Amino acid sequence: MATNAMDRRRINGPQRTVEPIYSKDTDPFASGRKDSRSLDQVRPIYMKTGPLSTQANDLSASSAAAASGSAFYEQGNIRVSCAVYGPRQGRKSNTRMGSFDCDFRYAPFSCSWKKRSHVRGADEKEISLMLEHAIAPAIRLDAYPKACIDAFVTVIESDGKSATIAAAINCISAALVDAGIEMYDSVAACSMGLWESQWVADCSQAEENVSSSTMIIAYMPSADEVTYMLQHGKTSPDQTDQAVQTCINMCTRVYAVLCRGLQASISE
Amino acid sequence: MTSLILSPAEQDFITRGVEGGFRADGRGSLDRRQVTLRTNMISQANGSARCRMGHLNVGTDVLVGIKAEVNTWTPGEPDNIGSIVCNVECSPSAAQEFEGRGADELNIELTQLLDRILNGPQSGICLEKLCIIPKQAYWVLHIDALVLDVKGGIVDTLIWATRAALLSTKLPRVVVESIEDEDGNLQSEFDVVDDAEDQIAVEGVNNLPLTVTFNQIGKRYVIDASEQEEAATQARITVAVSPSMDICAVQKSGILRGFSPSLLTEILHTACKIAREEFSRFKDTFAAVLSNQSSNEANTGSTFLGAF
Amino acid sequence: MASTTGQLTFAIETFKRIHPVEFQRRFLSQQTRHDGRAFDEFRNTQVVKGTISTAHGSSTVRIGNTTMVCGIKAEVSEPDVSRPNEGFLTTNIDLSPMCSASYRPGAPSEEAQVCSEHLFRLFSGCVDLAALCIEKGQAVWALAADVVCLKSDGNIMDAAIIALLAALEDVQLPQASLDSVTGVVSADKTMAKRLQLQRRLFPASFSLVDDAYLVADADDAEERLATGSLLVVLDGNGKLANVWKRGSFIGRDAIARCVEEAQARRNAVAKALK
Repeated sequence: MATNAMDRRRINGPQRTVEPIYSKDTDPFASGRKDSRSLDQVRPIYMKTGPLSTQANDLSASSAAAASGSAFYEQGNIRVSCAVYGPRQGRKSNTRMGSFDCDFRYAPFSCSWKKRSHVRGADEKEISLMLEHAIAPAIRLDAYPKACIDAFVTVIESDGKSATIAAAINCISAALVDAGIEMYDSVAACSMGLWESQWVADCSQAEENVSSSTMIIAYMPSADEVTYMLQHGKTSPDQTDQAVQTCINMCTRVYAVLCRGLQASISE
Repeated sequence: MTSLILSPAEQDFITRGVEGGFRADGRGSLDRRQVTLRTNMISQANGSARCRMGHLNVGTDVLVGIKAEVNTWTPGEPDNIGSIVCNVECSPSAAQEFEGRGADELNIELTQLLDRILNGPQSGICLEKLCIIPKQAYWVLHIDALVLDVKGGIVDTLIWATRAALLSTKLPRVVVESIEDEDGNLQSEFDVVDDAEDQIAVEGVNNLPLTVTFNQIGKRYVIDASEQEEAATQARITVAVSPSMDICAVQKSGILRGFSPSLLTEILHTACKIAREEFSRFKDTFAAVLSNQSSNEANTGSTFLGAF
Repeated sequence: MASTTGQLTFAIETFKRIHPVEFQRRFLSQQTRHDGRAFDEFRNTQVVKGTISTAHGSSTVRIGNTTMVCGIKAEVSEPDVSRPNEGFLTTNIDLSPMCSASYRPGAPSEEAQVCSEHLFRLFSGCVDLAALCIEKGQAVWALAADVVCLKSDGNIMDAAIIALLAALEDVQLPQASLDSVTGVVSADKTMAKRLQLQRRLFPASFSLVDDAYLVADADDAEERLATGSLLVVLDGNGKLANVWKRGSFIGRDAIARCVEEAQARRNAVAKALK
């Protein structure tokens, strides 16, 4: 029921729009998962690096876009696209370490809930921060003093909030590799939802709506380090423990898929 | 969270100390600083609290005010629950880098964290009880926090202050009446009782979680880091634990490093252990505040300052 | 006279970078283009409809490397008092730094504003706004069409128009009804109706490169050197719907030739749209 603030720089529709009330969805777990996945199965992943990479056409563009990379990532219905620029001159000079900045956006039509306004919302800003915290530990920031690396992520279609964040992490990882940024390891991420005391991997939006708790973990398998963790909702410590272990295992599997995708992109 | 830059020697001093189990201020690695709590100092708010971790000059200070409002229900919103709206703001007076838009990112991070802990069944607050008439009217609790001073451990201070403020919150009583209209249909109407003596507490606030924030420095970790320790921190993780010893939220932050899975597991279990002591400490502090306040009721103006 | 002793030789990539104008001129003066196309040749155009499940209508369009995604979301709103039985259609284009290094993050650039405005004007006659009415004077559909550029490699207007057309043709509006007591609009996704367009639009862009060569469907490298451009939009019957000329002078017979080429392009686009 949000009102669209008048923005003269865009074509404005009516001031106030609402979602019509759709007939209620059925229980997503009514007879197994809708897409007949097992509980610990991640949706099929498709990934491609470099489809969006900017060609260096003249000097100004090439200096701005030096060593930039991009990636397109699909996980079931989720589609995320990301471009990385850098290392380029940082906004804050005189820093010992480079900085990594992330700009996360949902396309206005990407969510199954209310249409997003064009203005960046608090949740998008928070997810940007999350992505920075998840990815930055993997980047050798000490190798890029006074420089900054920017990642621009756009969600074209989402299906499950947590799963979309995990997909964005995977997408940025791939784009960073494509850009040739020095990293300790690639970050792979996955999400889970707790439904009737069972952890369900990679929840769709309908599944997430009925789960009592969600978890996102970003993990570097070779370095054996959890770079990001977010849990929301009540669980017992043992359940959290179990979820961390399961998530790490799944991240390792996602990592293998990422690596294969990257290999395929390079050999192309 | 801080602009403090440590020299390599200082960094090394803190890191080795933490790895050896020593801290510059003499605390153990799992000890919290002194906590000062004060409640109900904002007369216009339904509940308020101010919490300071640390001493008079070096501490983190958060003021939380809670205002309750009646909202009319609009189609599309959940039928029978109230809602909680959080907002955290860091005062520019707290630190130089908060000037202008400098605190924006931190404000968003803290606001979303507070929202994640409070909004939902994990907070323990009975949101159904905040509903006045289903599909008609409900209470909205506006929780506004102002960070007055930052010297490390901002999240824990914020949650302590919010918990104290919610515990001291009193809502006006609401009388719901059913009236028959011309067509013979039952219509519900409500009246807010305007009587300062006749107020009720928010249901379920005793189940609110507390948070423990772990700062990884070197190979080990400490809780409730001071400003210097925070500058030496490589990764931070906040665990929210409910009084029933369930984990309500976990959030990692920090851009320098991650946690090894074994350390993560250790931290989660330590969090639950510490939380038990934290709750009893909170209970004692809060009880002391209440008894203190009732004896000095007439003298609020001076006690507000006197508490700090 | 140029001395041959100081002559430098470059790898082709280096030459392209430091003398972009000269690089293009060498091709254009030989009546060809740096990617091997003829002057009137358009790049391969692909259209995929209905890829995004969260939108009511969507499409993905690729012209060469330029990639656009268009999604349309339908929401309910109160109609304008002066037009009680007409719905709304808004069109916005998003040129984020993700698609090219030349765009800045933040509010839409002037280029994006101009493009959005032009798209809006072009498409305002395409959709029968009266068909978007749910209950006269009370509730109408508001269609928000957003074109997101994933990769910009020249000729974004053509790609945006084709994407928007394909997405509009893909829109399925759920059966909606207004409850007059509560004022709530409920909709049934299983009973969806396809949106009927009043006319289709087929764009063809031409750029005047280096003030001398008029080329069709310029890519990013050529567009950087363009001094003028011409966007011809035809409707489904081949009639001129809109001509948008910017920049330097283009002769009258050149424009006539462009319109002719646009006719051929129309058939190709129609084929891609199926």
